[in-house]
Amino acid sequence: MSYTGKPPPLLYYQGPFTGKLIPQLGREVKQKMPEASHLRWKVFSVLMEMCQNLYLYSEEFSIGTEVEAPTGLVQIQEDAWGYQLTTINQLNALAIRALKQRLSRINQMSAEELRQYKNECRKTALEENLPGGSIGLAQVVLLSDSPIEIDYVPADRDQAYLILSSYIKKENANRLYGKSHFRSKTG
Amino acid sequence: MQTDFMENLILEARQDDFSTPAIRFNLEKGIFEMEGESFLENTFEFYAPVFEWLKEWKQKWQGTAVFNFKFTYFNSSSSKALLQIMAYIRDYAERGEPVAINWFYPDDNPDLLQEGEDFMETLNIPITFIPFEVEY
Repeated sequence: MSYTGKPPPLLYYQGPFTGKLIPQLGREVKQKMPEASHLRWKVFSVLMEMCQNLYLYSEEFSIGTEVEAPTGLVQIQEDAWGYQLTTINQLNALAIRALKQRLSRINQMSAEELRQYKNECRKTALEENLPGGSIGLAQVVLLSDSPIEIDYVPADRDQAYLILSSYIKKENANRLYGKSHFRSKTG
Repeated sequence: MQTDFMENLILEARQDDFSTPAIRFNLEKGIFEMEGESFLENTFEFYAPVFEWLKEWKQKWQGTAVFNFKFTYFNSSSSKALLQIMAYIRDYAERGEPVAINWFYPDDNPDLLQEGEDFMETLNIPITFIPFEVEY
């Protein structure tokens, strides 16, 4: 136990995010979750997407290090029921507002709607030759067992620390087929 | 088979800093395989020569083609590249050439099965789904 009363995190990293660091973090998770399973695959997949999101969008850069790279924090905290994955990075207030709106929309989608949304984004990116499909966060929501939580702490007048958090339940990940999603379609 | 104007495309899987899939496009056998993990810093850079090869293939080639996709992981950026590859296969099929697409997925992973189903729905192409026991 740490002074917070929680067990030490499964993964914790704070500092520059180079492209090469992200797969290293993925390998570390695989080593720390030795039992190979769909659960480990989900934790790994969500980690990869959240780290790439941080890598692509963080607006704080390490200076004076070997490589100038976006900086941030990633943590995976295990509890009795699952794994909470959290990233923190600096972003301007306007971008956070836009992200909140986007997340508010995709957080409310059913699994089927999310798949449809992801497919449409991917198809549009292909047809319009866009560099990204903007589907990473939709994938995180699809694989998680709760909506992505979004919060922020002001850093200065224009910038804030964006906190994104997702949760993967242990029992759901290993339940095959007939998988339930945390939102059901209504209407 | 008219193999004189094109060469097979063979790329070994890599798992160092990043993961790239094995690519075995064998013209003589008419079997085209992609297998492993796909996670890269610059997805386009890796897949650009694969796209170029398939663009030429879909225009010039004739005969039965069997595509086997056997992934254990790909990130969302790679999924866009896979959609592009399947779109080239669809173009080939639309010329009236016989094509089969097999999507192998780990038998404990419904999410990877769904990824294949999503490609099928997006491009309106037939895909056969085949589970396999994954060795972690």
